[in-house]
Amino acid sequence: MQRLYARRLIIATLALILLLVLIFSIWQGGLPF
Amino acid sequence: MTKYRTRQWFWIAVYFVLVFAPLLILLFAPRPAGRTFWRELSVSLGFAGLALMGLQFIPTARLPFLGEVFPLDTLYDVHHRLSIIAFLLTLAHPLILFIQNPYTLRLLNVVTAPWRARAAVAATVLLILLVATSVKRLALGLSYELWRWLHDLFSVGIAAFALYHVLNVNYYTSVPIQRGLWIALGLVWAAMIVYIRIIKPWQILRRPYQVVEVIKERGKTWSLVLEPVGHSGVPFRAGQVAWLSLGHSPFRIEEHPFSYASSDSHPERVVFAIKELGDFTSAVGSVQPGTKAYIDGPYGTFDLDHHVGTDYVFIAGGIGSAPIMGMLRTLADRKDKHSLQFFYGNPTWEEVIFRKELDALQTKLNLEVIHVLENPPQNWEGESGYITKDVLQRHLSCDYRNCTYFICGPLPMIVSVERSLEELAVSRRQVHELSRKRAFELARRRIFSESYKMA
Repeated sequence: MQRLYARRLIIATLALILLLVLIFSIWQGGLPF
Repeated sequence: MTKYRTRQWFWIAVYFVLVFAPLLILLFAPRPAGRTFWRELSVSLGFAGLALMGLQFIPTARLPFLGEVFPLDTLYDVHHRLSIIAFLLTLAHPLILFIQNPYTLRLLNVVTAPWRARAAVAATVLLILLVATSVKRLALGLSYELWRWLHDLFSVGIAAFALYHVLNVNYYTSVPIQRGLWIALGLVWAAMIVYIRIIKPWQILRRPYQVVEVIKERGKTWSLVLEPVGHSGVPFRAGQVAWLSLGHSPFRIEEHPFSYASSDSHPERVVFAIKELGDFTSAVGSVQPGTKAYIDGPYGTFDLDHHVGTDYVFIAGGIGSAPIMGMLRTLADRKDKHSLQFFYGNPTWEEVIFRKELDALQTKLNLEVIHVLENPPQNWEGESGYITKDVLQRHLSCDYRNCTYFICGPLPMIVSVERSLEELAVSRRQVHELSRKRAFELARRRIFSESYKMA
């Protein structure tokens, strides 16, 4: 049960980080290609 | 359902704020002009990686307010997994920079590079060492104690060098709020180290215990009985975990986690059941009564009061019975009338720890013990093999879907039993587990090299 929650927390963390990092990079630097 | 759900959500919210604050400030605060996409990607990954990495000081700092609401093994598991993610994010930061602009490779030359780049190189080297020594500790032949010293040393070095790098590159950290945030984060990380290495040992030192009895149990296991010296004992809940230091000051990093195996009605007499597993535990039988001991605990939520239920089902493998015994002894002291079942897996009948006491507990409690033996003796009429779905189905009471389950043992056993319970339509909310992570780590190689078949 707790391991399941922990896995969800880790996946949510990674997904949110990648999303925010991408938004910021595009916002500041434009599209990569 | 845990009673501490609201506090769990509060701390998870704090966690998200600490991890995402640097990125949110990057997005929403005034900021310097943008550069290329790849450069911004590299920088923001570095920010995110460092925020996540610095946060790893917290789950392992044994803060009482976290230890009360989150299972200890889960905190350490999350620490381990998030550290790997932080490592990859942080490593992506220079790699993207080098690929996008190979000219920046000159920053690797520590002779000519500016100090901010030297600090980054130092932090990265220490980070690689930290991850390598953590993931490959056994393969590198590092003792647990030496590894913990190195872990501390590397962590503090990484934090210091990385912060120096971030603050001296001074591009996005030239924004006061971003700069202030990183200084504040650095102070939080430092506070965690001061707490776990100075304040906490000092608190423990003031509550000494001494070994009063060392009892040989079956299955290469010893019961270590401790009594407080000069105080009435620290209250705990049966099934929780504590770090035990034997014969030396708690300031020395030589402590090991064990479950309380005694009734929580008696904090003045604490028992830890310790199985010989080839490291520190091998010498536990030679511990002399009178030896000074220090207990850092209790921690964790694997206990009856966190998960109040109607009837309980306990499932354990080998020394995983230690916290279960604590719970059963507590229930016996409370003269509990609940219906209890204990599925207990062991390699052989001779290795069934607490066998006689379990027989006695069956007369005191409304308890049924179901022994499951991998290698049963001749004429064995009980269950054999592993604790499978079939075994559970044969013995669980008709109302098993409403029971609360406590599982403790090596991780493969926990995974297998949880899967079986899921197939039996037991709600995940009713299942609580404590992974014998350390025991599992030590035994893992042996288990898989012997083609251990998961039940």
